[in-house]
Formats: sequence, C-alpha cells, structure tokens
Amino acid sequence: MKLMERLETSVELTSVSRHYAHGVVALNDVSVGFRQATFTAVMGPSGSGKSTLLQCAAGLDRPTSGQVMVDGRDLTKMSERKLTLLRRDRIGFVFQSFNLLPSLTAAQNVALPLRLTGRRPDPELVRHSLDAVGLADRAGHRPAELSGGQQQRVAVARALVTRPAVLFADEPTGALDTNTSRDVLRLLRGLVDLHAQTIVMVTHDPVAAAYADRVLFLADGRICGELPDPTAEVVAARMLLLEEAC
Amino acid sequence: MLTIAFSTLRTRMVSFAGTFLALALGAALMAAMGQVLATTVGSPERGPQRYASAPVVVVPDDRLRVEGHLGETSAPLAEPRGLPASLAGRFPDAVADRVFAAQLAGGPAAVGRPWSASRTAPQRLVEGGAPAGPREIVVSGGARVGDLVRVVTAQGAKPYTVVGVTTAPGTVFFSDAEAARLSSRIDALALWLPPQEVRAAVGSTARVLTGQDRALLDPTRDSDEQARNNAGTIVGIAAGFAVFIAIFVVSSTFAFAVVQRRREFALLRTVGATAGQVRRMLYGEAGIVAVIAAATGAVIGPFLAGPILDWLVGLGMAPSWLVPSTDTWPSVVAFTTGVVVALSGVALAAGRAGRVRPAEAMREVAVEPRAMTWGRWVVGAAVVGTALVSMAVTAIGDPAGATNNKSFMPIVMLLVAGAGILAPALVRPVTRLLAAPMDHLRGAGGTLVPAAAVASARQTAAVAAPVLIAVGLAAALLGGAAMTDTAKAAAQAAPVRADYLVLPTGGAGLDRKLVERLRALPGVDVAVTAPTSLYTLEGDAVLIQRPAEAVDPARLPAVLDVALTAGSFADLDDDGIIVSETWQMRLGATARVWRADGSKASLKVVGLLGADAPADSYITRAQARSAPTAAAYLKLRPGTSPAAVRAALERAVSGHNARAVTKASWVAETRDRRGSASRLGLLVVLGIILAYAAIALVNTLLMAASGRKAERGTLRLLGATHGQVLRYAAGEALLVVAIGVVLAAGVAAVSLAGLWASLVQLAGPVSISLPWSSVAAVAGGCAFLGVLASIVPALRRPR
Repeated sequence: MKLMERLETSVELTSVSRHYAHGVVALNDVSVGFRQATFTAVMGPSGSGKSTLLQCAAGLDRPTSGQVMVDGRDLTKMSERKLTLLRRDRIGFVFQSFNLLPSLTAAQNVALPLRLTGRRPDPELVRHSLDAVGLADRAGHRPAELSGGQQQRVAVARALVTRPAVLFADEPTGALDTNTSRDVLRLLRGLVDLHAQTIVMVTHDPVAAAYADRVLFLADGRICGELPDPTAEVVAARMLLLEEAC
Repeated sequence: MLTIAFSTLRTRMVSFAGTFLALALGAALMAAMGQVLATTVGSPERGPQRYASAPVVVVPDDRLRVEGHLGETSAPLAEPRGLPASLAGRFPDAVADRVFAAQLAGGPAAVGRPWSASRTAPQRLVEGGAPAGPREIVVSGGARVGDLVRVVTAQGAKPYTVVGVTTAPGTVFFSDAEAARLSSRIDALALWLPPQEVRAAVGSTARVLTGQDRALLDPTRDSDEQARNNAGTIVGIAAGFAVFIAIFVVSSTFAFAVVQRRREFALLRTVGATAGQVRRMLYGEAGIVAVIAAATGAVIGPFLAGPILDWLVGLGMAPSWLVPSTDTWPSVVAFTTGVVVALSGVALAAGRAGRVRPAEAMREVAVEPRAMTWGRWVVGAAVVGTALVSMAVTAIGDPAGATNNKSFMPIVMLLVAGAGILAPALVRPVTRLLAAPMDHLRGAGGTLVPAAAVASARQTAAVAAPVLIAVGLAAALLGGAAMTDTAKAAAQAAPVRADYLVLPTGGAGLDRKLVERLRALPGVDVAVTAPTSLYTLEGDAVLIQRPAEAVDPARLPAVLDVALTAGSFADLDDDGIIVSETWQMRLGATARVWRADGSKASLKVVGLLGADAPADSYITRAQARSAPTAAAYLKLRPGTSPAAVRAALERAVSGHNARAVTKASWVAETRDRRGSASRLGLLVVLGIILAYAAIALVNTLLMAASGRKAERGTLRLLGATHGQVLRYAAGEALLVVAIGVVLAAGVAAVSLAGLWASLVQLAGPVSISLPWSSVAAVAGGCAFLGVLASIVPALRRPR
C-alpha cells in the first residue's frame, strides 16, 4: 500500500518548515502528499502560509527544513540550475495576474517553455495546446488583445505544453468575473478527468474550491483540516470558522 | 532567446530609443573622428612650396650638435645660423636666398626675400616688373603698382615704391642688394645642378636637400605639424569620451530597464528559463539594437567628417590643404566598437537580471530594494575620498599642478561619479530641503510630488544622475577654467610695474627705430624684452634648450618686479647671466652656454632668481642675436601726464606694426586668449557630455513614465483632473532636476574650492567668477527636457 501510494503521488512534502527573517514562521512542520490525477484546493485566511506552501512545493522557494519530492526527486537537494530545468520540464504554473509576456503572441507565449529548452517548438503541439483551451483561433493575438479569461486560458495552455507532472495554480480566478472563472475552472477540472493531470490550486473562493477533489485548510502555517468532495456551502462554512478562530 | 529578444524590442521601442540614440551617436562620432584622424594623419605630405622649382637646396644644419661624454648630443636651433659666405662663393650661379621679417605697415603677414629667389617657386608677376633699385619692391598683396608704402623690418620702417605684384604667398621681394643689407645672413642656396655634384662640393658643412625633403623648409611646415597634432589630440579625446559615455548611457538605461522588468524576468525564470538564458536574452536585445545603431552611425559618421574638418580648419586647428580621407576603416572600427560598447554596457544589467528570483513573479507589488547597499556606501565613499585626498595632495604639494586640466578633470569626474553613487542616500534630505516651501501650498501636489521622489530613491537618483553630470561638469570645468585663467593672468601681471606696454602686431617684433623712439619719450622709463634660447650641457651629457629673456638690465627693475635671491640686475652686463634655481649654480660661477644660433659663450652668474620668477634666465640684448623684440614696458615717472604719454605712444607706434596698450587691458587680453587649443578640447568634451546627458535624461524619464501608467490611472480614479496629473508629472520632473542641480552644485563647490586653495598659493586671492549664464543655460535645458519628457507620455488620456 505504501509503495502504491508513493508511485501514484506526484508531489510529497515531508515535515516542511519555512521561516522568514524576524522570526516569521510561514510553514510549520507540514507534511502532505498530492496524488496523481487529483485536483486539490488549498485554502486558508490571509497569512496562513498557503502561497508559501505552493512555492515550496513548486521549487520556487526553498524550505528551511524538511523534504519536497516531485516526480520522485528531492527538490531540496537540487542546485538552482537543476531546479530550473525540473520546473521547465515537470512543473506548470498559472498565476492570478496571467503573467503572459506582453511582447509575445498567444502562440509564442505557449511555445516559450519549449523554446527555453532550446528546441524548436513543434507548431502542431502549440496549436494543439491552444486548441485544448479553446483558443486555436487566437494564436496570433498579443495578450493586450485578449480578454482576461482568454489570457488565463493561454496561461493554462502554456503551463501544459511541456506535459508537466503537476500544475500549480495560484488564485487562477482571482482576477476574473464569475462567468470566465467558471470557464477556467471547468477547463482545469476537465484536465484532471480527461488527461489525468495533477493540479494544486491556492484559492480563497469557496466556489472555485468546490471544483476540486479535496480541500486542504491551512492556518498559522499548519494544516488544520481536510475536506473530500467539497461543496461551496460546506467550504464557506469551514472558512468562516477558521477565520473566526484566527 | 533571440526571437524573444526581437519581440521585446518591437514592443519596448521607448526603452531602447535612448540606447539606440546613444550608440548611433557614439558610432557616428567614432566614425567621423576616425575619418578626421585618418585625414590628418594619413594625408600625403604636402609637396615643397617655397623651393618647388629649385631641384637642389643647400641649407645650414638646423641642429646644434655637441660632443658630450656619452657621445654626440643635439638640439634644434632656435635661430638659423646662416651659410658661410665662402660656401656661397663656390656656387656663383646659385640663388642666395635670405628670409627675414618684413611686412607692409598695416599689411598682411609676410617675409622679406631677395628678388632673385622668386625663381625658386613657380610664381609669376601679375603686374609690373622686377625691383631695379634699393627703394623698389615687389609685393604679393596689400598694395598696387606705383604705391609708396612703408615696410617694417627689424631695422625699422622705411618707405619703398611698389613696382610689381606676384602670386607668391606672403612675400615682399627686395632687390638683391637691399635684401643683403637688411639681412646679412644667407639662409639657403637654391641650385640647378646635379645633387651629387653639390654634395661633393658641400661636404659636411651644410645640408643638401632634394625632392620631398625640400618641403622641410616651407614656412607653414611647423605650424601645420602643430595643427595636425592638435587636431589629432582633440579628435582622439572626443572619440574616447564618446565611447566612455556611450557605455555609461547604455549601462544605465539597461540597469533601469532591468529594475522595471523584474517581474518579466521572474516569470521567465518560473517557466523554466535558466539564469544564463535570461542573461543571454538581455545580451540579445542589446546586440540587436547595437548592430542596427552602430551600422547607422558608421554610415552617417563619414558624412560628418567634412564639416568637422572645415570647422577645425576655420579654428586654425588643422591645415587647410588636407585631402579628406575616404578610408573605410574608421567606419569598421566604429561599428565594432559600437557593438562591443553595447555588450559591455549591458553586462552588469544582464548579471542582475539573471539573479532575479522566480518567486518574484508571484508578488503583486514590486518593492524597491533599499536605497543604499553596503557596497554602494563603500564604493561611493572611496571614490569621493580619493578625489578629496588627491585634491588635498595637489593643493599642498603641487599647487601649480592644479591648474593643469589633466589633473583637475579627473578630480571633477571622480567627484561626479561619487555623488552619483551616493545619490540615493542624498535624495531624501535634499528632497526635504527643496520640498519644505511646497508644504505650505494648498492641494495634493505638496505631498504627492516629494513623496514619489523619496519613495523610489534609487529611481529618482537614476533620473537625477544625467542632470548631475551635465550641470556638475559644466559648472566645475567652465568655472575651473575661468578661475585658472584669472589666476594665471594675475600671476603673469603681478610683477609688471609698467603702466603701458607696446606690443608688435607683425612678425618683425618691435623694430629698432621704434625702440629708439620709445626710449626718447620724455618722462617714462622704458625697457624691452626679447625672448631667446640658451643651450646648456646638463651632466656633461645632454644638451638642453632653455628659454631666456634678453633685457636692458639697467631699466628692467623700474618696469618689472623680478625677485632675486642673490645678486642684482645692476651687475648684469654682456658677459653676465641671471639664472633660476633649476640651473643649480652659485653666484660668481661661470655658465658654459650656446646661444640661440649655436655660437658658444661663457657667462658669469651675477644673480639668482626666486622660485616664482617669470623667466628661467636673463641675459643682455647682445647675447640674443637676431631675436625680435617682443615687448616694451613703459613706466611713467612721477609728474608725467598719462594723456601726453598716451598721445606720444600712439604717434610713435603708427606705421611700425605695433600697438600700445594699458596694463589693465593687456591683463584682460592674456586672460581671454589663454590656451585656445586646450579650451577647445574642453568645450568639445563638454559638448559630447551634454549631448549624452540629454539623451540619458529624456530616456530614463520616458521609461519611468511608462512604468507608472497605472499610478496615473489611479490618480485619475481618485478624482484628479487631467491637468492635475500633468502638473504632478511636471512637478516631479522639476524636483528630480532640482535634486540633480543641488548635487551638481555640491560637486562644483567642492572641486572649485579645492582649485581655489591651490590658486591662492600661486596668485593670491583670486575672484571666483563662475560662468553663471552657461551653467544656468545647462540647468534650464535639463529642466525643459525633463518636463517635456515627463509630460508627453502623460498627455495621452487613459481610455
């Protein structure tokens, strides 16, 4: 069983702590695993450490102590350069503020991670990725010519073009209205169900969290609860409790 | 990464415009200066002029050669020694040429020669005929046939009748006998004989010149060489500065761009770009801009070479007969240098971009790092400290050295650089100081404008840096030059007791008749000086040429206050000499010297000069050979009417190519005329610096404005009118320019105070006369450009 679990696990954090200067503890001895082909939402009040958790799990930040395994490899023992190469090949990102390069077209933005590997991007692959997010007809547009939802879908396409082991999303719907939010969340859900993609998403929106398979609750740098098969109402109630407790 | 670099360039035109301009200008200047340099250095030698038609010319050796104990040592003679008459007698068919100072009264510059020498060059009579008698002359300009003119020679001014006009440049031809009477020295023999025959006959007693060597005897030869050297120096300095400042502008704009684009780099790092890839992307951007800009400059540059050359010729800094070069190497060098400059300018910024951490892409607000880092403090303090220490060392150890631009300029540069490095720390206090009066204003401007400057101290310092450089260098260098001129003129004038000076306006100096007339004036003491040279054999091994002043020892002390540490002018006779400390001789010792024409003399030391004496040695007129009299000093005796003397002076100088000036106007003239070549170099350098500072200022402001589009939007949302937003933008620009001006004032004050401390020791308290109008113009220009560059991007109303 243990072995089975490990094989299926895309990301595994063991006793991860992250301390900042002036004695601020963002993460305190957190152990958690994210299994393959699952959609996990991470929630918590402001300052609960959810963004730090995401950054440590993604190799963007280095934990003060503990171990982070992605795809069977220990991130905490890697050089900056190896970490960069791992991020390039095995980890995808989607941010709140879409973070597309304004000077590149949608297709160029999607092809960027491939270009960074030094390969000539396969145009078929790029077109396919854009098609998967429903934007095949916008390949030649610059970010400024796209709506917020479209920009975020380009960001998703870019994150997936390298077929990463895990996709991290930091408030992906934070800057979108209700309708476009729903499109993006459905897109993410579809990726998990149809393509067995692993997704970890930080959010503060119970509606968004309801699209996940389970919700992790964070407070004061610790995991203080877990909710499988969430609904928006239950998540909202749990969050209210957490925020009152803080 | 090159594709990304290309796309970035397309959308970020503004931030690359400054880099492009700086590089294109730098490359164009390099190419133009290179072309001018190729012209001045590479122009073929000018063919012989004066002796173009004479195949062989015999001239005396123009060097003094002496046998020292280490072998022969030689030095160029200050005065030609002339050919022996016996040699001339051996070639009865030769033209015995004499060249001496002779000029029509009030006429153009000219030399006197015998008429037979007109055959030595293809020049012809355009009017009249040859001079037949001693009172007839042929001129090359300034008079017509039949005119009765006065000709001033060293002997005096005499009337002659013009009987012909020739095409020869600047010459007065006398009859051969009259020429021999005016100048007994034979300067050259022009021969129409086979060179071997002449060489055999002459032996080693004189030089035999043929072919291109004859050009060595042309009158403009030395001044042309000098001009070529000057042009080369100025052009070299200008090109060097263009390169250095281009590096500065490129690196500062890229550094600024990196700060602005942190998020973009962080994002690239997040999606898997290595630090090396981010660095290479910046190199790629810089490389693309550099190739286009440097190519543009390299193409435009050669077209600027012509106007620059004309300008130099107009200033007398380059000979007019140069053939503009059409070499391609200046453009090739300019192009290569441009690209290398861009890549080295971007190196620091690229390194910083590579260090951007990926997690920064997640942050919403880019927080500016602390204004000052430890390293910045240390480097800034070290640079300022170096400047202050070297200033103190100069002021204490070598005050005379402070007046030299070569030592003053680096100190100013160091101070400017130091102020630039420490600027972020100074932004806050200076802003407080400047904003204090604004606080009382109603409205938001009083709080908004200074707050913006202080909040991003580094950015403010970056924008203020070009202003600091432009205003600081203009004030310090122009002010320093003005102060140095005043001090030097004061030092030169200090020992002068005379009330009037008579100075020559032509090449003949003050002629003998004029000097006699001046001495005959009632109620004044008159002394004349003639600069000449003496040669000494130092350490019994090396011949050294020393400047010497030939004077009237009896009359000199009345008009000139020359401090002696021992001896007196009263003891100076034709066998005596008064020497400075550098001769290292004692009173009563015998100085073995050679005179200006190479003749030997033994002179007894009768006086020793103090350290700040205006000359190296004093001798009598008898030892100075044919040196022209350069000045007459006149001191009124008590009871003499200045008006009467003035009128008598005017009468005396009339028709003698001389003029009388008061001491005061002479001091003013020497101050204004000082060192035009080095002054020109200074202005050229300053011009280049100002051009680049303007580019840097506009560019950083435009970049800063584009980075703050969101902020302007927020202000509009908060209810600020369009006019208010524009006023805040203009106010911020003015504040930043003002900060730069305050820093510049500090730099100028410190550097000028250091210079003053040195000059006081040389010339006593000098008045500090800053070129206020020029400095104000530079500061005003900065303010104008600053406001323009910050208002234009804000003009577009947000949609």
